[in-house]
Amino acid sequence: MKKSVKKLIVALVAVFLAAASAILFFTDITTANADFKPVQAPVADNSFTVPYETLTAGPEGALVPTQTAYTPSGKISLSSIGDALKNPEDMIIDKTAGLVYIADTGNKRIVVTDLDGYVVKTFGEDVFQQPTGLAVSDGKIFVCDRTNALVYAYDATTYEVIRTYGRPDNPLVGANTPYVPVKLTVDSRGNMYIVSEGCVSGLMQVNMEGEFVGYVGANETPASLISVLQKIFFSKEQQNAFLATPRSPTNVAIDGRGLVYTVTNNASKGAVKKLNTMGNGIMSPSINFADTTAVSIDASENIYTVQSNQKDGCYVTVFDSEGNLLFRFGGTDGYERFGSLGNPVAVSALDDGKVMVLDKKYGIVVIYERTSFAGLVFEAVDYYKDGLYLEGEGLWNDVLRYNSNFILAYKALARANMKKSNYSVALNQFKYAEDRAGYSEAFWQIRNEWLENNLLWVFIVILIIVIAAIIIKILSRRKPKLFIPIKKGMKKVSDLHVKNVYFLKEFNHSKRFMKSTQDAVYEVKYHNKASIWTAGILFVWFVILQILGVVTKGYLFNSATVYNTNGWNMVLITVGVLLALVLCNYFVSTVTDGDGKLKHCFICFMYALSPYLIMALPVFILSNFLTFNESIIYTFCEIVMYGWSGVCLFRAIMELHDYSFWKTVKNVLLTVFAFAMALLFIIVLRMLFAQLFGYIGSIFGEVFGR
Amino acid sequence: MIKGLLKAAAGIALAGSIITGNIALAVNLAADVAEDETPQGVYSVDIDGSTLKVDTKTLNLSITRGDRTWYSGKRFSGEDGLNSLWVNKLTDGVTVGYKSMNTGTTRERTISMLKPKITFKERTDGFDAKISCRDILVSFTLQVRLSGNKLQVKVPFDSISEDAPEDNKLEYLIVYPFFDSSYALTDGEILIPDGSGALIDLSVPTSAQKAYSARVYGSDYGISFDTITSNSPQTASMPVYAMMYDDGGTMVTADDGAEYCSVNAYVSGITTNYNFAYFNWIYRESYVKYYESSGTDGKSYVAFQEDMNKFDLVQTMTLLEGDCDTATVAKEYRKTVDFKQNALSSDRAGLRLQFLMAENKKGMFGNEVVTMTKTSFIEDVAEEAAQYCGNLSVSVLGYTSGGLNNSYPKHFPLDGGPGGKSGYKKLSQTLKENGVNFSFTTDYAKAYAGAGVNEKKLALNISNQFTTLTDSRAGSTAKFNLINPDDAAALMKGDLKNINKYNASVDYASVGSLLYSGYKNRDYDRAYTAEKFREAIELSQVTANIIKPNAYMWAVCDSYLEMPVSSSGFMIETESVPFLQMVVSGKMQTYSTAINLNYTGEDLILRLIDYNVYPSFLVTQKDALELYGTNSAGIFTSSYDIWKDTIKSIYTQVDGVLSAVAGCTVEDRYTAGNGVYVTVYSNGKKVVVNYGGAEVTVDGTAIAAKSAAAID
Repeated sequence: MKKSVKKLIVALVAVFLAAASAILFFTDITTANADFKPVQAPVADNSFTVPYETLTAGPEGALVPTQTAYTPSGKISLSSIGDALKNPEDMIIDKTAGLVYIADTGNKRIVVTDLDGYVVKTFGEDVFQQPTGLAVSDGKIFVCDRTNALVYAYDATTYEVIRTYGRPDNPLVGANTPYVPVKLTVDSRGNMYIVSEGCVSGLMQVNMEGEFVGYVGANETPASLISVLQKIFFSKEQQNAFLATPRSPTNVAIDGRGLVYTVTNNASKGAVKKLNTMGNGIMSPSINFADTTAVSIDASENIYTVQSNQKDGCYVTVFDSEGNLLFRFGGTDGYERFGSLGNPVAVSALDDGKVMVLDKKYGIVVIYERTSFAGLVFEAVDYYKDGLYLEGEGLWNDVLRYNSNFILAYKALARANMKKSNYSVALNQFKYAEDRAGYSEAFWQIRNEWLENNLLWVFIVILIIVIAAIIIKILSRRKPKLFIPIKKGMKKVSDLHVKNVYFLKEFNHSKRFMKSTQDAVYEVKYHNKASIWTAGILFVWFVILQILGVVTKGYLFNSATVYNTNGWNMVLITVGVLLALVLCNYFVSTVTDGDGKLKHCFICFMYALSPYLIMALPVFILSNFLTFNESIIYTFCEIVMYGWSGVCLFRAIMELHDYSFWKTVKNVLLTVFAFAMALLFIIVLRMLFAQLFGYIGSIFGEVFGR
Repeated sequence: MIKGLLKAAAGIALAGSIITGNIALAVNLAADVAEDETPQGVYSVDIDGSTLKVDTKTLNLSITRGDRTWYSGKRFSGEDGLNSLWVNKLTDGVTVGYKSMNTGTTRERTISMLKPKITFKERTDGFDAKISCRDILVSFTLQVRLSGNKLQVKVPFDSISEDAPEDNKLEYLIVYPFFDSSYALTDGEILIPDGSGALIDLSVPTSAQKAYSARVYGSDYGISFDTITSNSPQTASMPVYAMMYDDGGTMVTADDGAEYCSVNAYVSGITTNYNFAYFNWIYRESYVKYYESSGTDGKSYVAFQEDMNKFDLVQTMTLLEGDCDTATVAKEYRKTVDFKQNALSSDRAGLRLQFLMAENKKGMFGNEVVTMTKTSFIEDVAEEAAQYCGNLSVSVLGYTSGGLNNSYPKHFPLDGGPGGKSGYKKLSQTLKENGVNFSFTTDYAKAYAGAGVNEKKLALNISNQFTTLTDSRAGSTAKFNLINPDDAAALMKGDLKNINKYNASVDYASVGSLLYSGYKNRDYDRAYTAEKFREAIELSQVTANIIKPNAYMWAVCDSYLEMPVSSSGFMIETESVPFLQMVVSGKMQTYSTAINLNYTGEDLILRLIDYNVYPSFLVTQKDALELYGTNSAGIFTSSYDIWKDTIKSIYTQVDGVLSAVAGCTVEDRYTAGNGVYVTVYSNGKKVVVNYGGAEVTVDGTAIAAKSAAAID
């Protein structure tokens, strides 16, 4: 009896405890209660050594390090109450209610917490199969269920289903159009923008009544040579089978003004697009990140994106409303450190500057807090966006104190200085900011000012020169004796330099090449009017011009700088290419009945480039005085320079080898082909020699170095 | 009966909770009914007021001292999910990791799983156990000694033998991994040496999936070929960890052979429901072997170290009684460490200004040197700063002819741009007159790839390649070869004449923090490298300021540079603590990393005060924009003119508090409210730091929000 009582008591206690634990569990999760524990797990305060480097857009489009912009300050993790999120796919924040909605996809439910991480509610366990997308609007929670192919609208107070939205009944949504809702957003009028997986026509816009309104934000097919040829030659059926289709958007968000943003994962161009009310793209970020998975927009329309790439790392990247990259932080996650991400799939920017990121891999929400530096940048960006350049000037100067390479700051300060008419300061700042349009504008103003101040003097100088010339002319007629010594002197110089100095006489032949190429070539071939030495000097001048092009060309027309150009490479390539072309032409012509000797080939090639050799330097110098407004002058000069040289070269080859027009064309094409082959041969040879030298080097290293 | 009842109830509750998924609750209940398992010892001995009991079959032991008993491992009756390996790890004294050469896999077994033959020898102060693992034909001797509150465990290298290394090779040993462990959620903490130090709170469920594991003193670049990146975690620079509970705890130190161990910590929820930490003693490692010594073709295979690392395994468990916290452990650990006698000291807080003198930039036809700072400029700065700072240090970087990049390991002659010989001479004189410390920043362990160093001086890794270190950050990637410690020491000696000419001290980079072994005809191990670097600095007899020095370098260190002020923030950690700072407090001056490149606002200043770390800045005369396109592009703000007001402001705030405790050791540290930390120093002064947003009163003194003060 005693034993049975014992057993009974044991059993009762056990059942009680088991029941209590189960009740506790369900109570914890399913009902709102003041005693709930927050699920923001404690984390080590590593805000002084964040597990990532923060980058910003630097010179030459590079990403450069900057002060830490965000520090990880907390996380929401249900694992601390033994109920971890499982492969969550989406998160949305109702800023008005202060609630965080998480699509806990693996657990087939929606979890609602407050901003501190207290669990308020879970719902939908019996309804959802694969909830992957969330939106909140006007007291309703919208949930996309991928497997059920339905969008559910829930009452945000009672958590009851109000209605569901299935495939829209509209001829535009054909039977072949997939309806697999995975993400959505809702505008203030209740229109839903649904990302339907595999739907290449764009987002499906559906109104509250479930009526299909239209497609918006379709991506374009990436153009390639093959696709163009396919379009030309393929039949419609073939095109359907083979033509690349545009990628379908993979995520969507909406800003305070109702502008919709799409994300297209794996798109090399336009991974994030901002659409106007017509559904057309009006902005794409300055730097594209193909692995973008989600986007969020804050009250100032700054754009927050997350990238997930298991190889290259996971990042949070922040752009301003114009798409200028402000901050990027994150990296590869090999250590499981607080603040690093494993697979970010959703991002939300809060009004207090915090950013919440949903990490699918770890099933947590990481909360990042803005540093004072980032706060400074955002405040300055607000002024910049509104065109209040002067008002934001102080802030941008402060930003530069913390990072001298912050490109946007130079852009904004340049604008402020333009407003203050400090054009020369603005000019330098535009240069730092690599804003060539702004630089052109500032330079135009500087040049205009100079002309305004000095135009009178310019006219006076010209007038003096003209008057002096007239006086000299009159005097030379009336009193010729006065000019006899000068004339004699000039004659001597002229005789010395033009008629008797061999080289200069030969250089003079350039004029003949430019005016009458065929005659000039004839004279080279049969009268030795130009030697290999002078051609050699022209050759050296050609090489020097390449370097002078980098050094003397105006900033607006010059993409190369002394820092991004390897001078020796440039010399080597120029010499190599030019000589190879001459050689190739010679060899090609010898097998195609050409008359020209190698020596003549070289001379004629160099002399034929005379228009370029003569005009290039003046054009480079001229480019320093032009703005984009007069770029047509620069372009025209270039066309003349290169075009004329090209024509001279063609005619020189024609005459040199005694070819007809079409035979010359053939010769030119064959020369180019031979050049390509020679290049290939050199590359292969170089690789072989590199291996050989590497091998010899490693033997020496082994013997003497180790 | 009640005990049985509870046990049964706990079992059923556990089952019920598993059904519902409420593991945390189950864990708590099971922990409540935990049952102590004293070793089935046949040997018991009283030593210095303690009783040591040992199970001679498993070497499981317990020590009773006063009211507390320390167990080397005990099972809890609620835990029934463990496999045989974990069950044995709990109770066995030694766990053996070995590589099966036939299958190429690493296996982990405890001694009782390896058909052991244990020859147990009783001693008055402990015991010796000769363990022969007949399954793998590996044997070794475990020597355990108890003296006072210290339990020392030793495995002499000479005692290790492998009878069939062609079949099984010893990879690692773990001794007493569950010493002073606990079960499930419990009041207590594990202290780990990550960065400044970190706590793992055992009363909070963890969301971490990975345990803490870090190689003591960082990677061995002679074997591991790691790359340093911008997000590399902090190093475990001290061979210590501690289990801390309300009623006592254990500090575990690796005394000999620390260069070859890693420190590991697990909490309930990761692998098992136990909270435990241990040193993993590494005898051999796997590594990537390249077919070609150049390694350029990338063809490689995974090989296994042939010879064992030669070291005596010596691990000491210090038994701590009473309420045990970070300060208790710090004070205890401080006793075990050697510090430099008569290290540089001051009664004022320090300020370090490091000047980048010159850097080189790629031009069209070769490099051009960009002079960033003139020596005359530093003279003006020093005179100005000396007005408000009584403990100013000026260090120069990139002073070598040709600028910083590609200079190492060459340090002299000096570049003419910043001022040349005469400029530096005058600078040295002016600084001396103003009482300012002057130093050259050096790096003798690294040679820039392509710096033209004689290849015989370069370290070779185990794969017979030059040992390289890649520092990969946005904007720049620097690749270095490491130099043999003997050659590095010779270079250090060679430069002394030049350094002494300028009455300068030396800031040492790398030699205090990098530890690598050398192979082929180099043939040296990590312990040799550590000893050689330490000896070279000691012999140089200069004031030595060392960047991130590992614990073994503290004996020759005057100032600790670039001190971490937090841990790495691993998910398993729950709090960063200034354990490192507590240990070295009063023994050397400590300086932060360059604040201008990591400026996060006023909290950073509070953190410096809280952790007793002096501010340091990396500055230049010219704007940092000049550095774009150079290997120093990571220095994105450095103009002294821009930063001088901030420098003065930060220093004044730090000095205002820390000068009161300059040269004092930390005796205690506790919290006095949310975000309020009080550190007690040996002169009786308390430094109170209030990170919170509201004013607080500590010992009758009001401390404003976001501020700090030194009080009596």
